Amino acid sequence: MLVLTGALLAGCQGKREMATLSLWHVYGGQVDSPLNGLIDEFNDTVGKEKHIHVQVTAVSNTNTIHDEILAAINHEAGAPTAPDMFISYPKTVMALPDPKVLVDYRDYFSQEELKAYIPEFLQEGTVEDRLVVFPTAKSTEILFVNQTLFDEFARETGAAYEQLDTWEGIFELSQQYYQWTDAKTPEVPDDGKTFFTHDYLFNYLQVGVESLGESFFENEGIHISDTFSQVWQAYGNASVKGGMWLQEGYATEPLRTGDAIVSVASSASVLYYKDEVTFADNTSEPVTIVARPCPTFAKGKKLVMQRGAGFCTFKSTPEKERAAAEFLKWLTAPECNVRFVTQVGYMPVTQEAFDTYLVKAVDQLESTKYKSLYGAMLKTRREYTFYTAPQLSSYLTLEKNTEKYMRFVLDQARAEYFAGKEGVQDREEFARTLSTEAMETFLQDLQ
Amino acid sequence: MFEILRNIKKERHSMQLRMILYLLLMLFFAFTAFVFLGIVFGFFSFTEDRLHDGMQQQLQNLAGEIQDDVERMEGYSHALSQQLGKVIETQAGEYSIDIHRFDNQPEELLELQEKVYPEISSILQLSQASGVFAVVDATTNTQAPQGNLSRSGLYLRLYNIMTDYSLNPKLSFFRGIPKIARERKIELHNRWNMEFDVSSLPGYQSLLEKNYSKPSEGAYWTERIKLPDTWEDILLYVSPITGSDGRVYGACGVEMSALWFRMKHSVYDSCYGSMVLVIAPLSDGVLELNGGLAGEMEGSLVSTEENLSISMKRGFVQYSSPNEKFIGVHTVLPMRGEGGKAWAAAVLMPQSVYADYVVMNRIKWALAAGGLLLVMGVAALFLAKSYIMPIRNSLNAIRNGEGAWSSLGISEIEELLSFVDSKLKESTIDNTGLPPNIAELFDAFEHKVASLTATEHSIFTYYVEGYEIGDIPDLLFISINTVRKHNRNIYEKLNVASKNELMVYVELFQRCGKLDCLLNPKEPREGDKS
Repeated sequence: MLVLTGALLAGCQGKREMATLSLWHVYGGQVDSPLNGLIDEFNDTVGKEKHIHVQVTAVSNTNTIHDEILAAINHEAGAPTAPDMFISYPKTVMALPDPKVLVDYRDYFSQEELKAYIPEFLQEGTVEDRLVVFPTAKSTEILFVNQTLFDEFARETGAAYEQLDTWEGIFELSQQYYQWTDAKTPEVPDDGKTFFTHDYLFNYLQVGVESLGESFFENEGIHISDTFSQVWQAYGNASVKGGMWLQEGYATEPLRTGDAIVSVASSASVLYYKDEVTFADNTSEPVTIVARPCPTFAKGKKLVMQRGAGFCTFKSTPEKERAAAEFLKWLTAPECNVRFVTQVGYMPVTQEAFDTYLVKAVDQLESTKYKSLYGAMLKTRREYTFYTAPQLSSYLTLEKNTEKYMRFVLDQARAEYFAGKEGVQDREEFARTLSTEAMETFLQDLQ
Repeated sequence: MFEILRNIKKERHSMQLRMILYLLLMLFFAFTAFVFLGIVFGFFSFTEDRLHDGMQQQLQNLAGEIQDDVERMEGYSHALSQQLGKVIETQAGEYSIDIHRFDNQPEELLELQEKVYPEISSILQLSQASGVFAVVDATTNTQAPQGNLSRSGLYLRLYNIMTDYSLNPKLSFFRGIPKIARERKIELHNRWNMEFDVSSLPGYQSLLEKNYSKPSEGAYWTERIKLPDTWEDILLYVSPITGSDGRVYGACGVEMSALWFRMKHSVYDSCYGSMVLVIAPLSDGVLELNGGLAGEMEGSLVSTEENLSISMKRGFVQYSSPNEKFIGVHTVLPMRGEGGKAWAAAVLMPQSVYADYVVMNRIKWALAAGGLLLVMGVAALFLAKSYIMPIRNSLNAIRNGEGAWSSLGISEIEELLSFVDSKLKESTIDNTGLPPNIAELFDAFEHKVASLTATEHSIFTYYVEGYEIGDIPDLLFISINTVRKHNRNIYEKLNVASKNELMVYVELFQRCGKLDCLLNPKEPREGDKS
């Protein structure tokens, strides 16, 4: 009997429960995600060995994930089931009813292991003294230029790339570009094209004001100052006169349709820029997209927004939490991390990855767009100071409302400008007035 | 159990009753052993029947849900087809138009899309599909590269598919004129294009070749296709947009994304293992999973990259790919595939997972049966000890003549012991415990020894103690001749012919423990005459 039972038991020994981790991430959005490929690699190698299976259940963006996580946590009707892991900024963590529902990664990473990571990145993911947003890739804001169309514009107007280094230069070029494109169809008045688009106007205002030595925030709100007014007016004027794209949505959109030729966006948006522009007549033109460091004010400090969300893990069982940490250790191991970030336009998160692997990996990049991007990112790292947004509970609301209201009031002001400019003597003054009024309305709406 | 045994022990029961108990125990033991072996070798198993029933139940639920979804999506697609046919003819201002009149008319196509947008937007919400599209067989620019394959249309998709039905759907503008999206503040999809490349829409060209009296005549489900430049897989239900005379102006329909299907049909964790729900084209005994969709596959071994050939094995339908085997059940769905291909819904479970379950189940039952056998063995030992030990003790008591033996509670054994005891008592004549003729002989010899004189008895005693005749003169301080004389008298009185014969008697008395009777005779001894 014992022999028979033993033989049966021998037949099924060695089986172990698989720790399956569901994940919502943002790396790839609606396009083919490079992280999904890496996750497959993990599942087939280390995951197989350690009985961990990472399963991507959504690839979206941080705003959508923010909404869905809060809906899930608050058990709202129709809300999805929260995943085991998700990508978010600290602002999402701060919006949770209790951030302690997330794993503190210090429980699963030794001090020695954490020393390998760039301290500022770890600091950014620390909320209430708990490391809850684990950095795996960091981005920064970068200027993307449709080189093909810009060169055409530059040839005829004398515009120079150096002008793209400062905000003043960009606003000046935006006027030139509008007039240049407007002049192409003299029979249709005021049909010039916008020159520039910014992914996050809130970041423009915030970093712009801080770079000029003034605080952008005051308590939980915006600090209204002359510097704020100066930064607003610069963008406002250019917008009212038609040089800036004011519709909501990603900066990649107007570049894709040829409605703008320069953008400031996350370095990660490189994945979404197509190497062609489709015009209204359904003709497409192959274009070259190049990257440059983010513009700054001529008299301002070289300050740039550091971006890049991190991995959060909901507390569950020790096995699952350990499995999540194992996956993150694998993904942030220098060689793997560089392989990951260079596919999605991010920076690695360990010093060793920067020093040993990144430059080598950039040399091996074949895409001009990616080569140019990493050239700009390395230059940014050398010459700029990174700005990290403060952890304010009102941050997300301020950000959302600024994006919505600023675009709206400036769009209204622009419409007013083009409707009334014919009857005014001093169009510059008219534009400034409309921009000032728009700012006042904006600040009122924001209250 | 011990209490029962204790009570049984206390009560008086017949041997017959106890024998029946022993017999029953043995029968139960043999039965358990038989069951144990049966379980180990898998002769007894109801698992297959129960699993089959469970799978059928799952399949019934799945097929019902899918049928509801499919009917809803198909119904709204047909309604959209008819509505768009009217929209196109209204836009053209006449019936039965040549749709190519819209070629190279961007303004007209924009106007058409403005009218089409509300239709597909409402169908997206009503059908609960992951996307809705409408394409007309005309293009903005016939001279554009690939203009022969490019067709104008709209394609709206949901991009926050994180559950099977979102109350807050977020739209993404996948195909169409961007002005439509911007006016409505809809984000362009990361892989937006203005027009459709109809070469990536399976069956589109064939659809245009016929006239249809109603949309359902030409409508079909595509096999799984990759959404161009994205990571998502989809099925499309393609329905012809027909004019009033049945001619086809284009196609419209709904999208069922693989992600949506996965969210909707989670893996079913039964006690036998994880069951995965799939839908796929069915053709010539092959479930074409590489053209179908699978529900949540967490922890399962199902791959949607491989087709499964269907066969019957041990009461189950077996589905085999080159790398894995599954057991399951399937049923044909009321879905019309491209070219009239049938679709089926199936519930699958990896055969290896089921086999593991069966082995574990057998181990569980075998361990239970083995444990029962062990318990019965211990019970048998306990019973044997508690019944046999008192019998043995009583027998020993009788053998040793201890007289009393305790009550056993077994009537037959007590009767037997009483009988043996009485017989033994009857067979004992006197206190010596010797047979009567031997006892008589012993008495006579003892009497003779008592007749020896004191000197003769001393010499006799020395012989008993092992001395020889030559030792006696020194011991009694008499001559050897005197010793010989006493010897003759001793032999004569004891009626023996030699010292050897004398010693045989002594040996006999010694063995019977009666030597003392010879050395210290009870009767008075004669005086020494010499």
